[in-house]
Amino acid sequence: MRRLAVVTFLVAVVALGLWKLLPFWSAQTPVVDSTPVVSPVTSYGDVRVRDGETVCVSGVKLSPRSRFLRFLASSIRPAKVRLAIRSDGYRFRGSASPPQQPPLTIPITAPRSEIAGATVCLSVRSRAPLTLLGIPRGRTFSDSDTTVNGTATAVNATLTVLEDPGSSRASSLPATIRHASALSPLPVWMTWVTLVLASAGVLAALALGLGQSAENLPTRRQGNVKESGPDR
Amino acid sequence: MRRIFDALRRVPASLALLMLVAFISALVWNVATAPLQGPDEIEHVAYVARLAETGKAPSRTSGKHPYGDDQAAAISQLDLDALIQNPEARPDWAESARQAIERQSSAPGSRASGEGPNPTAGNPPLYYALEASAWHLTPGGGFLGRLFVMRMVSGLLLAAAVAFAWLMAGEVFRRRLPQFTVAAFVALLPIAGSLGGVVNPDIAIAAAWTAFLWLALRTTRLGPTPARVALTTLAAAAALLVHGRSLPIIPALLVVLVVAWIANRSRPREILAGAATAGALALFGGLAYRLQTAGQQGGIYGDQANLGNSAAFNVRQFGSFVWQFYLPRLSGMEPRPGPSHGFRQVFIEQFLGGTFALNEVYLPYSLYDTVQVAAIVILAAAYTCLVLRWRTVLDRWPVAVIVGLTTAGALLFLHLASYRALINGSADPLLAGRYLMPLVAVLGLAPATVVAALPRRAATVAAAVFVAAVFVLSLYAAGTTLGRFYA
Repeated sequence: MRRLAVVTFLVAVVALGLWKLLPFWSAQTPVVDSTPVVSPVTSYGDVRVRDGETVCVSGVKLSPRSRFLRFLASSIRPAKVRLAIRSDGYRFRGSASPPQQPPLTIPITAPRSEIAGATVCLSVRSRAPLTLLGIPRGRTFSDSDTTVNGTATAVNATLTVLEDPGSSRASSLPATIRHASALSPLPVWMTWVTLVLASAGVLAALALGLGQSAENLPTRRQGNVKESGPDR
Repeated sequence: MRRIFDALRRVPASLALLMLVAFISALVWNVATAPLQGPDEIEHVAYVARLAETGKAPSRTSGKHPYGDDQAAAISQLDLDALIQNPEARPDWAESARQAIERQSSAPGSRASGEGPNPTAGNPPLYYALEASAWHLTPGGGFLGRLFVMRMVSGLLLAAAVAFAWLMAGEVFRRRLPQFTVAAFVALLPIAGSLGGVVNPDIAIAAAWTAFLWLALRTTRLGPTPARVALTTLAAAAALLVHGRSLPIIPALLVVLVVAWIANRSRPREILAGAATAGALALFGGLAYRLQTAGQQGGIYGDQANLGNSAAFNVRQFGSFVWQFYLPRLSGMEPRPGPSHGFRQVFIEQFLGGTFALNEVYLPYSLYDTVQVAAIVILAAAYTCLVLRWRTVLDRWPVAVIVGLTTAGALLFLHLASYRALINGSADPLLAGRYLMPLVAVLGLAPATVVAALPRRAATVAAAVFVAAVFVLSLYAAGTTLGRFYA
């Protein structure tokens, strides 16, 4: 019975894992570096930027792993925007063509060290306006501010800094573990050990425990058993 | 000391392994859940901090600082407010944010300032006192370090709940496999792991109720000696000192005493001594609670047990309310007050499948559908087994009566609280899946009943598949939560 229990358990774990866990861990997902202005959930608005205008988001945190900026931006007609990031000791310039449906993802060169308060600007250089979705001011906890040509807007434009715009959950696990370790006292290697224990260690413990329990042992010392008759 | 070592040596390896599994599971949930993102964790941690630093509970209604300065710094520096209910938001894991919190943690007096208002202040202090010891055990750890250790205490409580579930199942079944099935269910159920990985008294309620059920069944089987009755009463008292949702444990204790009396009528002296012990403990506990809360405003549990105008209660409407929670509305029934919140939402999505963090981390609906089908099949199979083996059930009527009435009482109390809240104008049905945690081991009895009834080979296969399914579900749920906060 011990072997039957262990083999059945392992086969079931593999089968259920292939059915549910494999698609989960192979699904594509962006790897976030920071969320200076989060996406709207219940309350949203937009910022419209016309030809010649510049929209800026201040107070953006960047790290040496920041590789992409993602705005919930779109333009109904083909357009061109120029990106400029400025901060003490760090400058970046680039350009992009906004899609007809958000998001607009622009690759950047990562700074060498963490930057606390960068300003990210998009200048529109075409007749089609750029629309950025965001959260009305006062409905967000963000420290970042959005301005158009220096004037504060009623809506804070959503901005996400990404390490990777899309990779499988499994391949983004090292980044995920690094982020989780940053907010716990466990160093990264110990968090890895915990995860290995939770998967392989628990699997082994359950197989062992199940195998032992399948030996048809009684639950109590027989002296304490008051009821009579077999269970089955 | 030697007796303790001997007792530890007698712990079955399967139980030791399951307790380890539970603790590791809680540890993973501890890492996977961003700081203060457990259910009401912000308030529970503030309660612990206030109790640990000043020896006093916070106020429910007054005060200008709901949190200590270090906790407020963590909320602001890590962007934890922006995180709530927004699946796209992430905490700030930059080194600079962490350093800012640690600086605030070391500022003198930064921890004691959370005087209130705190909505959890009406809760009794037992769980918070336990967590306060963890708070003091990590004096140099900074806020995040203290939070981590406090969460580990919840993990230990989950491991304790697993041990009690094992012992309880040992009173119900005679073979090890169904016993293992019950304890594995408690150790692996995602909602149990998630509550074992955050600061929340629901995990302590689960441990206390499961201990109570074990002691109740044991007392009934072996006879109600004063020591056994005292232990059972103490477990009930512990549950009552953790949370007001444990109030139905009082009628459950009375049921246990009556059942123990009927089942052991041949020993009247033992029964009298046991009843006297329970009465004395209850009196002492009531007096101690009255003295402790003498200066506080409001009724029992900071007035949380008062659910509004009782005149609005209507038995017929309540019956219809409960019916529609589990089953479709019949013609002639008034629509159920409040939001659409029934068996599927509470039992399947929030409890058996699980919704996590601040009820915002969901599993795919297809997975909840699978869980629902599996739950209904297992319940139907367990019911069939009980009907087919009715003679065994009759033979062991004390177990059936105690488990059945305790479960029914706890569920009735939850429905009553929900009904009264809704008819008194609340938009919140006051019934979440985690409120079923006192019954977690009882719910584990359903698959174990099927395992116990099957022939040996089939039982082995059924137990192995069931444990594998809950294990895979737990991995999926923990992975989803980890990704929600940190991917």
